[in-house]
Amino acid sequence: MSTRIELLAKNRKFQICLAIVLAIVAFGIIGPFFTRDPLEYAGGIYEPPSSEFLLGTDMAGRDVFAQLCVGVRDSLFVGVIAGSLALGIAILMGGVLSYKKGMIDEGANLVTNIFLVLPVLVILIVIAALLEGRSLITVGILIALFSWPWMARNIRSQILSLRERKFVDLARISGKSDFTIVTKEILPNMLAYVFLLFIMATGWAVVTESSISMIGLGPTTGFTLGNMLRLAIEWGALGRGAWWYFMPPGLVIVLFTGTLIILTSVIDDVLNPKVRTE
Amino acid sequence: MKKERIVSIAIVMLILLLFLTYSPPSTSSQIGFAFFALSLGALIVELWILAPSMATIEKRVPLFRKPFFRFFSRKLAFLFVAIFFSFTLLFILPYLMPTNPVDMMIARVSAGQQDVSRLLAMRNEYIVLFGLDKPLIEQYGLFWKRVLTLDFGPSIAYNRSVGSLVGQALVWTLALIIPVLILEFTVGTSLGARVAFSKNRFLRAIYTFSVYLSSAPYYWFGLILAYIFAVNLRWFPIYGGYSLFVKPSFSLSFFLDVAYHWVLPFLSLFIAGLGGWCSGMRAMTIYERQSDYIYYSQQMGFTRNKLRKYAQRNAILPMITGVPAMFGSLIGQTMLVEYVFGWPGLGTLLFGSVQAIDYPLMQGIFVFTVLVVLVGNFLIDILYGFIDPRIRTGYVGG
Repeated sequence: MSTRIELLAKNRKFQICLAIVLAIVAFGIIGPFFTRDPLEYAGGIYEPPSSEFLLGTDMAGRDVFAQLCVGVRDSLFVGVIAGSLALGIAILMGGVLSYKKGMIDEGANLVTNIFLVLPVLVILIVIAALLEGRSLITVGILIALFSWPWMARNIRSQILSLRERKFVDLARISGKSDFTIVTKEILPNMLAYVFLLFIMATGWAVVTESSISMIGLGPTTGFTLGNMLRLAIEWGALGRGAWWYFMPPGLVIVLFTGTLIILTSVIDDVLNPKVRTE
Repeated sequence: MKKERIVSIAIVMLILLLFLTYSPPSTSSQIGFAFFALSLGALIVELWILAPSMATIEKRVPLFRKPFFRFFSRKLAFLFVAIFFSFTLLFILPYLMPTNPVDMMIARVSAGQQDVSRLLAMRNEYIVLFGLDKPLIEQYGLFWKRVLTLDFGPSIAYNRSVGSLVGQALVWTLALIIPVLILEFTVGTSLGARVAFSKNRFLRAIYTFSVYLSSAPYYWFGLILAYIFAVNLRWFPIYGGYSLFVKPSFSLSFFLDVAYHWVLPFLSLFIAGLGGWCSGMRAMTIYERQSDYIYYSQQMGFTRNKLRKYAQRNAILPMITGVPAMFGSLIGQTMLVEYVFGWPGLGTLLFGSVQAIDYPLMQGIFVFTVLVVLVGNFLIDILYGFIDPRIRTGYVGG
């Protein structure tokens, strides 16, 4: 394992991607301590970027840069909650249930396939519209409930091949329960892969949160990047040419998720010996 | 195997028993029950007969010896099960929520109203309209009747029937989504295959760029395009599906007007979605490139282009199986882009219904969208069965 991490650490692409992701995370965690209150009416209407307001002001004279800091923090919070919860569901549906052959596996696979083709955003919008108060955690849970299927599918295909290995047979003979075999024997063998899935799920959740926030169904408490985009659209930042209001939140999302995608493909390249020889 | 068969027979008996003892009073809910039984039947067929491995099915059910028929029936069973499952989810949703939709609608209306008796009368009207005063099981039957006849009653916000509203918007949405899906697939896969075979720097740059963008929220991309081409350059209109003073009609000028408005939403969906197909196709082509027949052809001295064509043909098949999952997410993304551009499709309608807490309309949009996605997927799957010779000849099951 240590050699793998060394391999990764030496890779230049990996270093750059990791630096970008960590910088965004740090920006969200540390940033809000150093900026003014994002809801304070500090300047004029739609002031362009200046030394006082790094990214200008919005329609009520509030600091866009401060909003961006808080937005990154809250969006990442939703993303991490949704990502980890979705991973848990995916491991249960794709891992533990798929390990049992026959009916249970087929049933779990069927449910996964149904959730996979459903238009997730439409369902999320209908549910969110029926919920009146939505905290960051509620929205995270909601996103997790509908974003696990593709992870479950990937985990299942891995489990199906690992299931036939000798060490799993050995564990089975020694009388361990199925749950213990999956969590203690099989999952550690695909830890890197599970980690990749978690990264991608987090990125996906950030995008989804911004999407449902954009039409006004995101968290009612907290201030996410999606909320910023919604305000920008609703208050006509586009027509007034206030690019500093709608560009940065989207750019941060693209930078974050795009880098995560490159990061996962780099990790995959380095850790997968088949591709490495290419 | 025997145990499973007993269980499946027991379940069918239980459904019949439920059906006979309850025997819903109205014919409307009987339709619902019939569909309910049909879907559960499909579920049982799918799980007990079709899903087990090929060898055992052929022994048990001679009919399924034809690979294509087996493939077709699996997909059909899946369609029924998926429809049943997703609409049942829609039925259950309001019961899981802290406040029910009727009270939310009343709360919205009551903001400017002082007359309590009128509000109560309105509440009762809604309760009767949705059949909320009936037992749960009959409500479920009525719900299925509404879904199957696609009759959701009048919309509260627009004062028109939900069916006509949604049907009209659906045409606009499909006009956007079908070209996007087809072009994205063809351009994306061919670009992915080219990147896998060539070392052209320009191609690689486009590839990396589109993969990077593929994670972007599509609607944000739409905002950027609108800012550049509509606000700054003024090449394209920023809002709507057709110009303000033009009446919708079947004429060339109207069609051109719509096409003019169509460009920006189309572009934002197309460019943002390209990367997903590219990266998937590139991975499949690289995998295909390592196979023996490519090595053989390479030794025969075929050109790189020829090799690419061979690999592309085989690599594209697994990509088609990815279309269904893509379709579901694309329709959601399309709705958001529609909202940004004010394109008069389902997305704008959904936003309007959410603003007004118009639950019948929301229900209608949900049902139509899910139906379009599931039936579309079914058709794509069947098409795949025709294209892929391995399914016709039974090289791989289902």
